[in-house]
Amino acid sequence: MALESVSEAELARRCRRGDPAAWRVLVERFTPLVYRLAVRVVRDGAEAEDVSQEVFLRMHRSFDTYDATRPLAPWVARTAYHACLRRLEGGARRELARDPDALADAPDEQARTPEQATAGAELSALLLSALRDLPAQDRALLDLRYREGLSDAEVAEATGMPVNTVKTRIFRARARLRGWLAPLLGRISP
Amino acid sequence: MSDDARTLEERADAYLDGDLGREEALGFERDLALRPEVATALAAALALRELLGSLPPVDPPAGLTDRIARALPLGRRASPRVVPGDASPVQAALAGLAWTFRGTTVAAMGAAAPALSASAGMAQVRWALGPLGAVPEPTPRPRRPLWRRVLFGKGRP
Repeated sequence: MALESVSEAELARRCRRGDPAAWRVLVERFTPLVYRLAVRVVRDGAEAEDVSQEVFLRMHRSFDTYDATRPLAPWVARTAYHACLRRLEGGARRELARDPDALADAPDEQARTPEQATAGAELSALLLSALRDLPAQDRALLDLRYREGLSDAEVAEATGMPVNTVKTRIFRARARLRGWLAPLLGRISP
Repeated sequence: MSDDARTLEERADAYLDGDLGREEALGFERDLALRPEVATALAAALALRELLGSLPPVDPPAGLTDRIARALPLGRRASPRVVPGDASPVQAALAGLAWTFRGTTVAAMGAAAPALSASAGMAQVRWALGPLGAVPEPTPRPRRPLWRRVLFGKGRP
């Protein structure tokens, strides 16, 4: 059987043995998830590439901690999520060291209207713009839930948050986005 | 949370998440048929979810997968330990040795042990577990009396 089509459990078993071909397949299978999440959270392509590389190195070092009875995606997502947050924390510290007022200048999502932000832009562009103003953790939650298709429980596993916290945060993030996009969402409603 | 305490949007989200109880869900569906604003809230909630799931794809840059794979220390792990095909030298070395763990003795079976299959290698080395009394006490090495050692020191009679 080609390695590309083996089950996650078999792939994990081979990766645990250090099989280079299995690792190659693992990288190919999960790089999109890791990179997408990193881009959404750190908001910088080059940083996202660095994070992606770091994520797989960490996974390679700590693969023994992976519970083979669980699906791989939440474990990969967890490694990526924490790597992204560490990267952001490091960036924020560097930024603050350079300019202590930098964070005070962060955009206030309550202060602008969709019309002001992206007048005439397409809805998805507007949504992307709104997503950028959400806290990094909320961006990650929405991404894992709606882009990567993880369940609430898997998102909780990936982020280390209780399921109810995940639900609450996603709910609030959606409410914030909905407030932003209300005029457009109303227009596309039946 | 009761229907009254939630906003319409909250009820729509909870309905889509399956977080409403049976009665609440039925109530929401009744409202859906009767109140246009409920239908609008549900449509907006659905539209947002669809939008979130259909954002433009973010593909990893070309070559990223290769760079990541190259950066991994693949194939640089220590090779697995080679198991000798013939275990007889190991058996001979272990024969007669015994280790005691909290009252249980683990003794390596000697070359004479009939159950041992040397051809299968180390995987076939069998260990005998039993009470300490089942293993013969090692013969103590004769030692010079203390007074001789004190008086004459090392190497003296």
